This record gives sequence, C-alpha cells and structure tokens, in this order.
Amino acid sequence: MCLAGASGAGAELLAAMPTADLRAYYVWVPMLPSDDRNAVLAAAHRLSAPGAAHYWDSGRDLSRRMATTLGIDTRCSAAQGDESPFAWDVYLAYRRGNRDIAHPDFWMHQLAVEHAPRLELRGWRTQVEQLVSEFR
Amino acid sequence: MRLLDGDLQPLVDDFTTASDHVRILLLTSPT
Repeated sequence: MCLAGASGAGAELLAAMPTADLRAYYVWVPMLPSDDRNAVLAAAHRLSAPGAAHYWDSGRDLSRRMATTLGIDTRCSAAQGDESPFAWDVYLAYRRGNRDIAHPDFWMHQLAVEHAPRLELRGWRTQVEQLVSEFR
Repeated sequence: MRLLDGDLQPLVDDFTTASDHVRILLLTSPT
C-alpha cells in the first residue's frame, strides 16, 4: 500500500486540485531490500507533478524524528531487526503559517496506531480541502 | 529527487520557505 497510499494521498490530490495553493513533499524511506535509489527515482518519476518535491531519506532520519513527535512506538512501526521506532506510511498536512515540520495540523497513517485516524482517502482529501479553504 | 543522507536541512528549508502554502508530507516507502 506504500506507493499506492502516496499516489492516492499525494498525486491524485494534486491532480484533483490543480489550482489549489498546495505543495506536496514525498519523503521516501527504505522498508524492503528493494527500496533503493532506483526505486525512489522510479517512484518520483511516476508521481512527478507541479508542486511536488521528492526526497530520499535513506537513513530513516526523518522517520525516527517523526516517530517521536507523533507518538509512534516500536510496536507499531518497527521492521524486522529494527529497535528504534520510525514513522512510515504516514501522511501529514500543515496549514499556512505552520513552520514546524514536526507538528502537523492533521495526520493519517497505515500503521497499528490508535491515536490518529487510518488513511482513508476521502477523509484525507476533505481535511486538506478545509486547510486550503482557510482564510489567507 | 534530493538525497537527504542524514541531513534534513534541505527538506526543512524547502518546507519552511513554502509556509505561506498548505503543505502535505507523505512519508512512505517507494515500492
């Protein structure tokens, strides 16, 4: 669901709101042995769009940082062999003026987390549309 | 595509520079 989730929550949203005041940041993290630079380049090419930027977090540095701030523990997030928690399959939204990447205004996930909603594309789109429609 | 390679600052700078926009951040794996 990883690439599919990113496509639905990112590329499809951008395509559905072409004139919206919206930017998308894809941060790709390795979870499987096949998640290498070439896989990231392919994903970035596939989800290329105006307003989109792609980053390769090969060391899972942002993932670990976000796990802490989002309250994601090892039980919910760790892959086999990993000891520290990291956030992945998480989808974060920020209203205008929010300059703190560690504290989104809204987020969804595809983990075993119970304190935030699971990704559901209609709900995600509604939330983002609300942020876009807020007074500038 | 930008390689962060342990340094999150390029991402943080891009994110902060665009703070007059609504932004979404998708943190996931590429396959």
